[in-house]
Amino acid sequence: MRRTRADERGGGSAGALAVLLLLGGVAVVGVLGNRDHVEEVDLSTLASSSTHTTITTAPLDPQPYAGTDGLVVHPRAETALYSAPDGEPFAKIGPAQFGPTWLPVVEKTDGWLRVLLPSKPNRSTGWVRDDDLERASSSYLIRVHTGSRTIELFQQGKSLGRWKAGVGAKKTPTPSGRTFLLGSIIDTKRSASPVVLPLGAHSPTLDTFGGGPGTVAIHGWPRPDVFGAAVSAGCVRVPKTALNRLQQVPLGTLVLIDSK
Amino acid sequence: MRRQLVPTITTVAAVSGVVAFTLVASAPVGNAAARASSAYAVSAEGQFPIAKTPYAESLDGKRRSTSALELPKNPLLSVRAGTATAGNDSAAVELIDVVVGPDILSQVKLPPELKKSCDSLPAQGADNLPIPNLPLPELGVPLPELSTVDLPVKNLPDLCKLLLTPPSSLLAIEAVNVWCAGDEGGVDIGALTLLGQRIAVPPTKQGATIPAAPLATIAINQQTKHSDGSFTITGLTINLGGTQTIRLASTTCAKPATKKPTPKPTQPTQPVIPEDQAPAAPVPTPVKTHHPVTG
Repeated sequence: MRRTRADERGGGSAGALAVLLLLGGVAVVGVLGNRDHVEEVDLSTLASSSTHTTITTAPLDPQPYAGTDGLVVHPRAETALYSAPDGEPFAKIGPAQFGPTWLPVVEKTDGWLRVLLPSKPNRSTGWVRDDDLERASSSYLIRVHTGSRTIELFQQGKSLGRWKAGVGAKKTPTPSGRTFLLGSIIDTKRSASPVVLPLGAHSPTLDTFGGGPGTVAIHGWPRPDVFGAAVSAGCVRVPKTALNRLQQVPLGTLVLIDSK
Repeated sequence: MRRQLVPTITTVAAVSGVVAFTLVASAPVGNAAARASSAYAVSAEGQFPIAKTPYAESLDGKRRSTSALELPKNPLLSVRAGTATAGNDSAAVELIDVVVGPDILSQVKLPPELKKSCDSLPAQGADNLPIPNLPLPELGVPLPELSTVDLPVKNLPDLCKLLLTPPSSLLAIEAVNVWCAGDEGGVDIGALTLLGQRIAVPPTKQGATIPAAPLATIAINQQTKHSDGSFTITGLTINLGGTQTIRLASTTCAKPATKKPTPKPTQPTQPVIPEDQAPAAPVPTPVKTHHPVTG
């Protein structure tokens, strides 16, 4: 009798142990499954954010007219872009655009940075993991005012200059909001004003322009009559003195465009 | 009996504990929002109602954007383009070239005595001539009965010029941009003209008004926090004659759609580099290439 009870007790404990082990295994698989889901992203399945691509699932810039502390980051390799910290990957960003990719950081949280993206639509952002990124600081800020048709350059909050600029015409406006210096190029096919500084923004009204994706840029112009006028197809045309200064500004630097 | 209970309780505890743990571990990170973030470029109530156009909303926090190049047919209002975007506790509207009351003064016939005064204006020295108080005919939009003294002019030559070469609209606004994120937001308004005259837009602080009475009352940057925690910000609210209301660029941000809220960042408006910050970003080396930009 006693033995039987002992057997029963032993058998019961063994059952409980088995259930614990089994369900513990399930829990471990559950946890690891979730971890795998976040940490091992198949980059080959993700679209790459660039001035040529459109990624409609990118989260919207929450503060499209705000400044930043100047932090810019360079992904050393292809890096996944997430919809939120610990959220879903929706795209990736490569290490090079025209030159090296430098993106402005507009928001930070533990282990994550939110960056502006070069892809359409305008004001796209993505979250990147704060590891394997090269960090740098840009002390510059570029402001474009489409109402007064001016461009201003600041360093550490101090004005380095304010110039008249040609901005988008009524039908092809320069898009307002927060974007950034995406590249610095010498365009071999633009003999009159070869220095072009493409931005992370695109024309809101032209899907394509001249065979390109409608990238908005800062560049020079051979005639001074355009400066201070709303004449362009979206680009910001600036005098040579302004362009010389702007060429020294690091990639990733914030460009704030408003209607003032 | 008591001894038999021990393994049973252990088993039940193990099952419920581990199942609960497994459920928590496997729970999706996202969580649908109770109320949608939303945005619209234009709406109107009154004699000429216009439904919210274009209108975007996001219940699940995913970014949705919609654009419109024209409004439902109406005699009150036109726009060149409007884009409304709604996402995860964020929303934005970009609106370009708004015209209220197109060609409003072009059909006004000058009262005969005013025409006579205008025709006989001397080329110089007429700046001090007062504005005669004459009623204006019905303008086709819901405005109170107006007279010539209600128009935004200083003297008789200005009045003659306004009525003989009428502006193309009652009110024109180059651009209105509105955005919200969580319980914050802002407004950016481009050039604003009332009957062809540029009006200074006051600093777009919350609840400011643009003096345009009695033609219109214009409130800018109206912000409302709702009892459910959502937040609405409307760029411009134009009231014509007390009966017709036009709302331009309105965004509503609703509670975060994700379970884990994103901490608020610190966002100084100018770069100020702390000492422990990253090294200075390099001066870019220009790359020789060809990329067509918007010119």
